[in-house]
Amino acid sequence: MLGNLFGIRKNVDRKTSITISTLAFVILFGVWSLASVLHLADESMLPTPWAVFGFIIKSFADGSIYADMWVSIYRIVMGFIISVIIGVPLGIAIGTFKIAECIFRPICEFVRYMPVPAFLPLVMMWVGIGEEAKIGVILLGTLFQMILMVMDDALLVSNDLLNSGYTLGANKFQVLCKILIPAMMPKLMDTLRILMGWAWTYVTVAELVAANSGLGYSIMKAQRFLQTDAVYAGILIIGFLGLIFDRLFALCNKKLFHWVEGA
Amino acid sequence: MEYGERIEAGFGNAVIKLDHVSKTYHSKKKDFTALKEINIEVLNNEFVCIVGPSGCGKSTLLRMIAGLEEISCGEILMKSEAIKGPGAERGMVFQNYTLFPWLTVAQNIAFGLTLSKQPKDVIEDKVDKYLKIIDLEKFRNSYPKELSGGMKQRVAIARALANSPEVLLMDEPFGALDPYTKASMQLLVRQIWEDEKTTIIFITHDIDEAIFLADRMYILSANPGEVRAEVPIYLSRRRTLDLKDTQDFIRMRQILSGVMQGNRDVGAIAEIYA
Repeated sequence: MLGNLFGIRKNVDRKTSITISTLAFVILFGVWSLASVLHLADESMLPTPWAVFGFIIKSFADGSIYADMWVSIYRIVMGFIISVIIGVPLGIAIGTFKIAECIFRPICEFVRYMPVPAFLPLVMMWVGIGEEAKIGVILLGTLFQMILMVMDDALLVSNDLLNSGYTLGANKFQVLCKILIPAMMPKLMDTLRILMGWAWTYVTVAELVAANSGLGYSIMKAQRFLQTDAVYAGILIIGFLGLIFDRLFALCNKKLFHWVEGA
Repeated sequence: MEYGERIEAGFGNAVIKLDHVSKTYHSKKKDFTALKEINIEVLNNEFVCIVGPSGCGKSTLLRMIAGLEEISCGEILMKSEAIKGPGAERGMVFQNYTLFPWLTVAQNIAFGLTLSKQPKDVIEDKVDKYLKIIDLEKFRNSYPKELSGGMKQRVAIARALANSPEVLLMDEPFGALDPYTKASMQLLVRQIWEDEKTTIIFITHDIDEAIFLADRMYILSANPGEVRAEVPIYLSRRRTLDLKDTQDFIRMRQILSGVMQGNRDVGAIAEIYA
């Protein structure tokens, strides 16, 4: 049984895998605790885990974290929605029509390799340091990737599925709306789920550089006052929020797309 | 009606007619002729199989009839009119599973009818009828992922038939099935063909399958794909699986597979009915 742990693509039962995963977390926590208790690193560099978790609990208890948290969530949701409104239709068009591919694909392929943080000064010159700037950074960071990933999702729909639509009397418009789009939906939602993770990275980048609110800003502020525990707390909170968003997406997908084969 | 009578009744009444059809692929280095000067006629109510070794272009041929692939040269006529693109009058069953996975079995069968905005009760009646024919009434509300390969192809056949096509095109639909399921599917298709009085063009590389199903078959050769022989199959109209064990059938298979593989001269076909 335990030999399976080292076999290529072998399965172990749920209990074993959960135990091992939990153990990994416990060990990580233990190493961190030990390192901080034994002062292997300076306390201003590595606070104790209980200091960090204490800070997280305190900031939730006294409500000081909520303002920053909601601001960050608001920015992400806004940036992401705008990105979806532009990126999804464009991606589907590029994956479907040659004309759209010829026009947009080379541009997107080029822009997506430009580092988004480098756009920050430009974004600040364009729209200042208000909400637009953060939303703009999220948009820049996710849009071009989204277009290309959605394009791939559209291309993955098999030709025969579309052809069977034609032989059942569907016209071009019907094949697009009643076959191609429903068929690519599960992949599309997965793509959005992945990009949601990226949006968290970009909102933090934007808030670290130019903001006076948000989780990224709270990390920046804590660093100025050498509140290392607050820095760690901020990073962990962003991680947790990202995880919650991701799990929510995954749950929705599982419910909505119960018909996916091999799922 | 016996075969001879059917031919006479349908003669000159080709539903599908391929007139010197060729398919050439162009590339920088050289042109490749996949299909060369194909002449095929399919009569009303006929069951025609097109057999050939892999790579002879038989699938391409069927896709051209469906209007899914362009013709390089020649013409394909349906009731004397040139085919311009795909359409509901030429239904198709593909080798790969092409059911819409987000729709239930019933919704899949109803797909074509919903597209043409048929009244609800008409759709319902047709769905019931074809669910019964393919014997999957219990799976009416199941999704394709819950079906086996053979069941999926049965639904695909029902989906095509519910749309009342004039010609049913079948592209190696049982190629991926196990021998037992395959045999029962052959029986089902032959049964449906008799009851529904449709015209079927069936592609396969399995000579056994072709003899069992067809009224008439075209044997293609590869490189370039050409019609090597046209063979009428004079077997009883009502066919059961034990037909495959009869002397006539075995002899026919021997000769025709020899012709298909190029080991035997086309003239050998005459021996079948000698």
